[in-house]
Amino acid sequence: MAPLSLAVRTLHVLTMAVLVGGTLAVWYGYRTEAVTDLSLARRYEWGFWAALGVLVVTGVGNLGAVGAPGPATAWGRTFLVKLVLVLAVVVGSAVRTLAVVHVTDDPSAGAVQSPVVGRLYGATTVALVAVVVLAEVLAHG
Amino acid sequence: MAEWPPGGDWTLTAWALATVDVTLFVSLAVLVAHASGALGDLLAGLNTVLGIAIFAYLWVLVGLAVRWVLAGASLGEAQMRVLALRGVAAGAATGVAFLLGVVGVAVVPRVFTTTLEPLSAALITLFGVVLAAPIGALLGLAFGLLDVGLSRLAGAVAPGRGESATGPDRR
Repeated sequence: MAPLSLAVRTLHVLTMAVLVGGTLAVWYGYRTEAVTDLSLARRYEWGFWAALGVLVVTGVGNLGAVGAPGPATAWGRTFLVKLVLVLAVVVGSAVRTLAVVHVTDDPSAGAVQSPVVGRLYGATTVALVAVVVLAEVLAHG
Repeated sequence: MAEWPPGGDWTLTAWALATVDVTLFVSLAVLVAHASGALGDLLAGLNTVLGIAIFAYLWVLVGLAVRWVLAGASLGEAQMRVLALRGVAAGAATGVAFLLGVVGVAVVPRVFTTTLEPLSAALITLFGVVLAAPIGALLGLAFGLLDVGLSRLAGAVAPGRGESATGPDRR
């Protein structure tokens, strides 16, 4: 594998690790009420979207490096499922981010809605882990 | 509350929606190309550095477009018409800017290194602009409507205290 392709793949894996770990940590913080201040969520969202952009571009870069078997193959069908799941993660995360913006812009809503926000991070974590599982299937069968 | 980046005039909403729009656009394009069996050939003609540069350029353009749209209208229902108009204008401008960027990298050097005539290059650019503007406008409108829908869904998921779940009116 060319050094550039290896670097892109490494960045892809590390970014996913940061996303899963970060989202899991934020969810755990709100779930256990170790964190109740929603400003943490707001700050996390800035990094989340930067990481998601990096994840998508490095994902396409990986695809170019390894090649993409046709859609009728087992690999192709799994990849299609992964793409649909990625789209769901993007749309679902947009709703989560806008909900965070909404409740943090309304001070009276913040304390009321922090459990809701926590659950949104929980759902995001589950979806991201599902993407990781599909990536493992694609990489190792 | 202190916003990040400090001193910047980006809002979290603009940053998130810009990234949503560009990642959805690219992911949908990959999905369609894969489902049609054209993805392998498409990626074979695109080297890694060029692909990353194109994505980064598109990300910047869409970011500027979304920021401009939200600077003049909020995502609330009352400003749908303004949002739609600004979405169309920003989409058209983004389409043309993207096309000009591609022409600048892919066509202009050929004027100096091959037998491509400057007039031919200008005609290619003109033809491209005529196509890129309406396509960009349509995409701007579509993604603008999607962003409004996402915002309303967020308002329904986490409504403020004493507020009906019709969606947030936030920039």
